[in-house]
Amino acid sequence: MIPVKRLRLRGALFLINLLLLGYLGFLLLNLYSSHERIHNAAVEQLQHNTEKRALVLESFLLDRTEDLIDLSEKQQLLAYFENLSLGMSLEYGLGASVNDLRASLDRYRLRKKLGSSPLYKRIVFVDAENNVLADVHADGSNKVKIATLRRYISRRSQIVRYHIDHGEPRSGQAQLVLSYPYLFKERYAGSLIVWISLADLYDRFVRADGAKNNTRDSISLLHDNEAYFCTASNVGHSRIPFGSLPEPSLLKRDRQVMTLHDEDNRAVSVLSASIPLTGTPLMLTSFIPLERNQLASPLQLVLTTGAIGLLILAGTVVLIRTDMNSRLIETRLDEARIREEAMADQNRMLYATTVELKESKEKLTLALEGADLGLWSWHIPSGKVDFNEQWAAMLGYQLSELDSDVSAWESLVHPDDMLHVQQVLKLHLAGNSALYETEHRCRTKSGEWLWILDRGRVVERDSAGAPIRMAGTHLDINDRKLAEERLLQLNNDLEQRVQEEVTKNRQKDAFMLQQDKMASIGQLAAGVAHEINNPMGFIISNLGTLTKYTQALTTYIESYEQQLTVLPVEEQQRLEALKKQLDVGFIVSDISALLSESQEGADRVKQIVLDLKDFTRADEVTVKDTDLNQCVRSTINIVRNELKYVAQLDLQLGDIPPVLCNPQQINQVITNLLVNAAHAIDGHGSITVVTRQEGQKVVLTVADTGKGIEPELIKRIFEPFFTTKPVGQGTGLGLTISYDMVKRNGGEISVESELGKGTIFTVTLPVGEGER
Amino acid sequence: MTAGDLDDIKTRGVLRHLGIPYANFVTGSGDGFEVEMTQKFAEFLGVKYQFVKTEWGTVVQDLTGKVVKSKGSDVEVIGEAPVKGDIIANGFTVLPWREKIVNFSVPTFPSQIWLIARADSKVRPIKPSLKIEKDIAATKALMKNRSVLSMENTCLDPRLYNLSETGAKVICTKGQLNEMAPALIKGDAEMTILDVPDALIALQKWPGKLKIIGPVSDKQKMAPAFAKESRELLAAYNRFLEKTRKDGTYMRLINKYYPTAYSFFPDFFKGLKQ
Repeated sequence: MIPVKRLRLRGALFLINLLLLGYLGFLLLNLYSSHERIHNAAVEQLQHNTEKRALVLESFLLDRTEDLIDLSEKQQLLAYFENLSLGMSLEYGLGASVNDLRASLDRYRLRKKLGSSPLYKRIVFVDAENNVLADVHADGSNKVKIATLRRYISRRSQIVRYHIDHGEPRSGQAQLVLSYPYLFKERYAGSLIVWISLADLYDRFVRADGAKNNTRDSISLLHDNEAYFCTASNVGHSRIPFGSLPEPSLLKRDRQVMTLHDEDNRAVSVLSASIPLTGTPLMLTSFIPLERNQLASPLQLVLTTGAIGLLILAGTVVLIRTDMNSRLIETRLDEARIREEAMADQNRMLYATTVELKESKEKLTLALEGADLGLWSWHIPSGKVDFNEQWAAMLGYQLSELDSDVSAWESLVHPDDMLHVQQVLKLHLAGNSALYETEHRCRTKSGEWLWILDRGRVVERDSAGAPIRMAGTHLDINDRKLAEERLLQLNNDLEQRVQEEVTKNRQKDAFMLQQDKMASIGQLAAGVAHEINNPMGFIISNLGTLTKYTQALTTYIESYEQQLTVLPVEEQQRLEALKKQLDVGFIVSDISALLSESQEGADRVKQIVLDLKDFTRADEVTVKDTDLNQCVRSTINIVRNELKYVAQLDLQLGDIPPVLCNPQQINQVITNLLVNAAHAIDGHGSITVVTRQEGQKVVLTVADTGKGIEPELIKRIFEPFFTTKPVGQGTGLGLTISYDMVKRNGGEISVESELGKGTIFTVTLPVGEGER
Repeated sequence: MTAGDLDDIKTRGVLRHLGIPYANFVTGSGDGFEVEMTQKFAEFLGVKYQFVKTEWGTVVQDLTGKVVKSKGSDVEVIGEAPVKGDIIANGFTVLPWREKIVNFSVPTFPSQIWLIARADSKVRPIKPSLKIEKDIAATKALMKNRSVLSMENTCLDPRLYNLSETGAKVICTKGQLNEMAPALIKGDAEMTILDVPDALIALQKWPGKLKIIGPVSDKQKMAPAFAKESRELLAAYNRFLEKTRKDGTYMRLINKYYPTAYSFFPDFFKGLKQ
């Protein structure tokens, strides 16, 4: 007997199984329902896609209607019929219209593209008498026959009509033919007919658009009631057995289920959806195999589902067991990994610390080396000093060559700097400065002195504040010190040059001022000479006339006196007394002397005026051939007053050619030389002026018998402001200006002098151009 | 100064093209069949191109330096004038009197003189007879007592076609050749004579306004003209023309400016590289 408890258990199990069975049945129903919905959706999608493509194609073909209307409105077509109606013949004018029409249609054909190739394979215009006026097409096309054209022509309806030109069966050459009647003056005048490749339409709107559609699962085909307009190659590798497609005439609008047979004669159940293209004989049909969408049997589903359930259960058990072992191993592995990571962390930290220390040390070393610092550390109580390699190397030593004692350092410091160093050090050790810092020289191993910037501070003191240890650095500042010295020297030099420039500029300014002054004096003298010259002209002239008058009067008086004897004696005595009283005899004898002196004086004034003009030559500022002797003579006249009381003038003017110079400037040079010569003479002496020719040069010397110039001063006499004259008597610029002017006139000026004997100035000027 | 021969032009470095805006030979906009051909000729010679605008009444004297007066097939020199160009290239018809004063190159374009009437004229076009003489006679017969536009010293000179013998009221205009068709439409006369290139353009420009009645001349030819002394230049042009006919340049320009010319005059252009 089965215990109740066990029965209950079995019952429970049965119920569970029943529930599971029911649940499976529910799943199966759901699955079936889903399959149905999916299938219906696929069919709807197929229908929708087919309709969509058909709509696009219809729209495209509708646009072609517009093309035909455009063509019918061609101006060339109108012109042809206008000319025809005017009676023009093909030979005389109408032929040109036909040519224009053909050219126009051909341009249109080439312009309208479908993809990259012409949309219209052919355009024909046939007139009402069935004459083909224009037939434009791609090269190589056959001539269209009028019998063929007649099929497409309709004279009645003014709409675009569609026809199919099937061409060779399955050749892919089938074409859609559109025709449109042309009316001229509201009467039928001809037809426009155009051809479009159906293969092109299929590729463009069905296949290309359906590149995803024409898969192994479905295809779309374009056809009319007679044929499909695509070849086997057009449809690719579809599961649809293309060779057993139904007759196109059997395909009706909407959906149909049909059975097709593949190459192995296996039946394939297929669903088709057909959409006719409005207004055309064309229809678009899509096919989809139904096999993939059939429902699986419930038993298959149960078995499959059960097997899957068992597999899942077994798999779950295996997975759980595997998972537990894995978890154990994983836990151990995790522990080991944690330990390993902890050690790795410690190692990393240790390594990082080591690296950091190493880097720090390297950086310090690099910093010290980079800064060229030598280190020292001084233990004050013991006097022991530690130096580093850089400290020693700075002075050209190896570290081992230096004693570790402060006395070694003291012996290297320059004696002149030691006192200052010790004072600074003492102050710091006493705590009176925050830093010990001195610049002093140290002796290098080679014996040279090197400037060092010595810095340091007390780093350790005892409890009483006494310094225990001091550390610091040495920095080589020799280059800086030398640079400072050079800079100082440069500053001094610069200051000196600035001073010299200032002096030069001042001298230049004074020089210019003096030249301006001389020029002003020259202009003034020229002006005065000009003013004097005119009155002097008539004075001299009148004196000459007066002399003549006087001579005439004297002659008359003498004749008159000879006739006095005829007068009574008393009368003769009275006149004689009057003559004596008036001193007429003296007057007559003196009047000619007075006139002669006046004439001489006037001539003198005239000469002075001429010389003054000649001297200043204010109107001559350019260089020209000049008579140097004349310059000398006119200048002497001007300065005669300066000379006549101190010197005897001795002129030795040679036979010289003209010189090339500015006469005004040379006159000034001669004036300066003569005045200087006069001033050099104490008491009375002589001045000798000589001119002579030496080759292509003319030489002028002015020699005096004055006191001479001291040898140490002679080289400075042409310097600005140098003068030996008492203060107030000379500007110190006369010879400087002379020197400058001679140079500017291409000449040279030199001086020879002997103390107590006199001085000779020699001026050399080039011979004038006309004399070379 | 005379029209330069080849050496003179090369020395001068410039080829002077005498032209008048006419049909599509010289459009007046800087291009045209003859403009492009002459530019290429200048390039062929290695000299610069220069366009010299002239008039129908003076075009010959601008080339030859001789003032001339045509008398039927003869020409009379009545004076001298300065030379302004080296080549006339302007849809210049080869006429007997012109051949006596200038030299023509190998013909470059076919032509004929047609009688054109306004569309509203009562005159109907002739029915072609396939014999040109009959067609000319039939056309001239229609001119009697009707006003006909023409232009002296051009290919439309009425003396060339004995228009005075037709009983037509000949009106010689002084304007440009390409103003003849507009003048006709405007009503200056009932008819005009035009050469074929100009007539074809007129038909294109004013469809339904004009009609071609028939021919008044036999087939003619057009060619660039050169001064009698410019023999080497003429020879160079003929070499240049031969080259352009072989390399396709010539037909490319014909098709550019007269697209229907080839089909209208197939014999003239036969065998030339397209």
